[in-house]
Amino acid sequence: MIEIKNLTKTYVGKRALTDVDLRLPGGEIVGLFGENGAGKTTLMKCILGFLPYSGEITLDGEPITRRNIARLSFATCEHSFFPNLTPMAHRDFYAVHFDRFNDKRFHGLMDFFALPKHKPLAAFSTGQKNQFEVIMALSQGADYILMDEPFAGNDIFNREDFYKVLLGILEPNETVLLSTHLIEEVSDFIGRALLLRRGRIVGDVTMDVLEEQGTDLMAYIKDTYHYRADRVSRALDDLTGEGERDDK
Amino acid sequence: MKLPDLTRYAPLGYSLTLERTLYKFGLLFSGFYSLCFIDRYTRSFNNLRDWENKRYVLREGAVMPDFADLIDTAFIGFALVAAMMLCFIAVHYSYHTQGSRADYLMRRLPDRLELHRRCLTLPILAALGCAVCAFVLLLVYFAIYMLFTPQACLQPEQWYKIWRDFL
Repeated sequence: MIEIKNLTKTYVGKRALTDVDLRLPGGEIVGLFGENGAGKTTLMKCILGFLPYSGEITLDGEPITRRNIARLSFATCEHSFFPNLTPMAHRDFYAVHFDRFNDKRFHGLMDFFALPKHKPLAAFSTGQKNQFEVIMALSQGADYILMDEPFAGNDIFNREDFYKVLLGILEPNETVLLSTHLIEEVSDFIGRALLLRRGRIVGDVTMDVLEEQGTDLMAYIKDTYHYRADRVSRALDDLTGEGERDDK
Repeated sequence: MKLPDLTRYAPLGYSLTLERTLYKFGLLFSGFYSLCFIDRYTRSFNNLRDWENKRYVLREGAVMPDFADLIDTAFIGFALVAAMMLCFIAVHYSYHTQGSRADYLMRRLPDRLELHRRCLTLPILAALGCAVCAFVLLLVYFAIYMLFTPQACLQPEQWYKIWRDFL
């Protein structure tokens, strides 16, 4: 289990995360939601140790160090592969460095998405690059797979295929933390939703609870964010002066 | 002779062609430039003697300039090449953030030295190679200086003076 206690991250005088407390047990698919700048990426980077922070992050009670870092994998929309290398060269590199690299899963997913194995990644389309990024995160043999908006740039059919494949291939002990803006799309696929707002966890709910309450994820998020349904029409009124004319 | 596989010590997918070419030519030009010592030495050597009665005669009280003074900037080329190689360290690290964030992968490898091994090894070895070449040439030039300079014109503690000036 990943356990986060009092996590606070500050960027040059600006708080990105404030007193985040969180537990991610094994075997969950967790959606991480929040507007741009809410702290989703920062949270993931803190977990991976890319950023200094105050607070405590542990993996099964141990701090995350080089000894257990292989239990975490990361797929990011920024892409963490080497553009000049081919997928097979990446496979070889991962196999050397990650003892539990899942070769069968790698080839299975590469074949499923019909990605060329011997072509440099620089020549891939954005969608293919995203697919490859996620394939490597899933094939690394990690228990915790962190995905930061991995499908940005992929078409809807592609994304839906991926959700289905993901649900089909994940082992019971594998946990996915998926940061995305595609709320409705992933609502049938995740088991738990975390909501970040201005660096704080403002919502943490399982899909079972939402079902019991007879609500859906989008409604829950809008409610938690105090979303004003009339903000668009009010803004348009302000911009076009419709409101003033009506008043007169 | 087959060259060892250097790609294990270079950033993944990084082409070493430019660095290799710069290094080879850098060493070559540095070696040529260091020959300015021979020129200085020859002129100083000729100043030690006069041509009299169809033969060279040592001037009375003639003294050969110190070896360190004759060397002067002869090895500056090697220093520049070594400095250039060390600049490639920054290029290697920044390579991991160009076109993608491959540094994220390197920073979460169980082997914490992998990134540094791939960024530091070759530039440091290249810089050391420069130092070795320069030192070997220094020994050769020192041997020439000591062997060909007439004993009467030599000043004492030549070897010591090199390092005194250097340090």
